[in-house]
Amino acid sequence: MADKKPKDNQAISIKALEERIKTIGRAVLGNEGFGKVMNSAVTTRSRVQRGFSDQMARQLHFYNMPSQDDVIRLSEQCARIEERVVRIETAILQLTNPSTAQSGPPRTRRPKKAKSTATQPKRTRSAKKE
Amino acid sequence: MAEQKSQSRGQAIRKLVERTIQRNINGVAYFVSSDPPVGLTPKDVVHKRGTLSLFHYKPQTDEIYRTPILIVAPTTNRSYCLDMMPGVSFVEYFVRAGYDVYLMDWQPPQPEEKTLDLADYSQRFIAECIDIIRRISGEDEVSLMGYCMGGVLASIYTASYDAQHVRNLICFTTPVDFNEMDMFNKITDKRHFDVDRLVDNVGNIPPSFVLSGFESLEPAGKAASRLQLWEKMWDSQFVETFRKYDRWANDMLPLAGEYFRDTVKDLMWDNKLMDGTLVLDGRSADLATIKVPFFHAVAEHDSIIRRPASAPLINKVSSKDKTEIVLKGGHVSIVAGGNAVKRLWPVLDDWLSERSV
Repeated sequence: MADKKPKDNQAISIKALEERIKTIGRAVLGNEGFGKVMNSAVTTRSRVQRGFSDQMARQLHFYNMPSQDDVIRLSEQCARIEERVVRIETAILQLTNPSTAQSGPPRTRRPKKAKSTATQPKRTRSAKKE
Repeated sequence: MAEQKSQSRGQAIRKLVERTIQRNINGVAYFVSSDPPVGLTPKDVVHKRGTLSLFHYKPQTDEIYRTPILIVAPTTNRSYCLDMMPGVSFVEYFVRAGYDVYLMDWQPPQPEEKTLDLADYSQRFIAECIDIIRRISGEDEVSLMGYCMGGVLASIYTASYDAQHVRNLICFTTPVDFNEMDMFNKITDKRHFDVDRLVDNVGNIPPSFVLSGFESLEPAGKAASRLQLWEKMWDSQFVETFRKYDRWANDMLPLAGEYFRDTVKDLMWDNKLMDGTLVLDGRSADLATIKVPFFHAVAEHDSIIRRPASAPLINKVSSKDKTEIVLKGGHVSIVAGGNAVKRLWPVLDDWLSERSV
């Protein structure tokens, strides 16, 4: 008991603190002004990132090296080829053997309720006499 | 009496010393050891294409139910939350209960995958995985399951493909009324948030942006969990479990650019899923067209998908055979907690087993 009381008090204090921060946090984060500032910060960051990336691409092209956009274009081509391969693979499998079910346990399992009703005791017990 | 008092005081001091020592040992281990293992249920990767992987969990029973399960993981998080550790693993539970389980896992989309949109995730990828499962299992239908945003994708597929090859639809904490998404709405407020400019500039949305959205829902959550960790640092089992959940909570995925744009515009701003006006790739995704058996599990204290956001789903679908279960606990505890193991999963198992033969 002596051990439990301070622990409970500690838990209560943490919870109360959490609630207070949560209330303040939600008031701040949910504020329209905050949303405005945060979104302009995100937009600015993304624009800076984009500008930096464009600058870097120009430098890389100057040295005859592929930029990130070039690599992305190549990867997109690979993805398109991969997609076509998947489609061809599916078509071939369907043509060669439409039902290619792999071996595994039989799909014969019955629901528990159906099983359990069979093993349930009979409901014939009568009340004990006093 | 006095002797008893001094004895209990002695015991308390001993306990305090023991815990302090253990706290130091666990504290050092916490900082120096690598990430704890997760996703241990044996599986094969039966399909992989860019951001998408399809896992097939190895059956562990002599006979399995006829209808396979296809789980759609949320696009914001790693799928190992559904297979966190033995004993409280959602996947392991259903594999051991005799189901043939498949899972759509998402890897971080690569820069070239920025063009993947909501239609790709909710229609093309799910249809592709169902085709593969039909081929592997020889069965024509699956039970489609989705957690959080995975539930949204599963619902959109079922609605837009007229439940083609879907026998049952099961959703966990799935939002439908995006006007009720609280802080997410404030972050993506149409008046200030320029989603086009953001997507055009950065391509895929970085995980830090997604994480900041989640953290704004519980501003004190991180600090409180750190305090709780310190308080219970002496308990090795608690520390290990904490590390697994903490790893998952911080292990967010980037979002494909166009998918994010569609989510913000169609779901958050225009609330089209709620209104029944969502059209993707020329297919209408009106939830009212869903008529297959439907099960929705929601958490009473979910701070991410709040109850008003998920509550309308059960009434939106037209299935005659539909069930909703409200469980005490939060967003994660519904798929990865002791409460779910005891209260939710057995109920779902009973419900699904009758509809999987």
